[in-house]
Amino acid sequence: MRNWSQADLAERLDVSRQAVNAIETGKHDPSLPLVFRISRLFELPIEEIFDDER
Amino acid sequence: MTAKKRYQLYHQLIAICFTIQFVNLCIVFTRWAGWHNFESFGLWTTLSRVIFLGSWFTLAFLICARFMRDEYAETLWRRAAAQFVYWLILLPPISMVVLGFVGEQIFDSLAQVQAITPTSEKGDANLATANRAQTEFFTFATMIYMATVNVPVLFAGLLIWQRLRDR
Repeated sequence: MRNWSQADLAERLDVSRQAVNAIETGKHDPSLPLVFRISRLFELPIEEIFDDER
Repeated sequence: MTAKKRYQLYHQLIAICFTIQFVNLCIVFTRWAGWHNFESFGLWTTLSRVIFLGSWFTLAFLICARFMRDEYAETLWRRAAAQFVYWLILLPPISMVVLGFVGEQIFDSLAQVQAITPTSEKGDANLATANRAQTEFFTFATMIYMATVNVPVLFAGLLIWQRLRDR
């Protein structure tokens, strides 16, 4: 469990805080390169982070 | 400047510049409509022009600057661009409606600038027609100028609207 704020996560992913917020709330589907960055950052497989049935 | 700071700054700058342009637009239109006769003088005139032009050019730059946008901002930009096409179609008829409301005020202010008064054309039908035609031409030129100047403002407004919708 990481206690990162949206701003922390945005910093690590090289995107804006608004982008992190939009991904979290399901308003924006991230690109494949960004999905891989998120997966590497959390050290989890993509399918454990994103749910394609939503 | 790091990429993240750039991306963060993009949304903030767009919001600030849009607000300045929108306030200016409101002042201009309400003055034309005759609701007030507020005019800035001296240093305030210079300052307000610098702020107005600075925010306009910043807005135009931000709309064109791909490197300032992350992928989410780019998505918003594309959505705004798709909506903007509809507004480009609607803008001329809207301008005409606005002209219908404030046209006479523009006629009056332009006539004053050109020193065209009812007395100067009294009894001279040709002069009256020529003055009217000239003033009408300048009125339409003013509206075309306003529409052109406000294209980036409209785009920024749509961009902000798209972001607010995602909240």
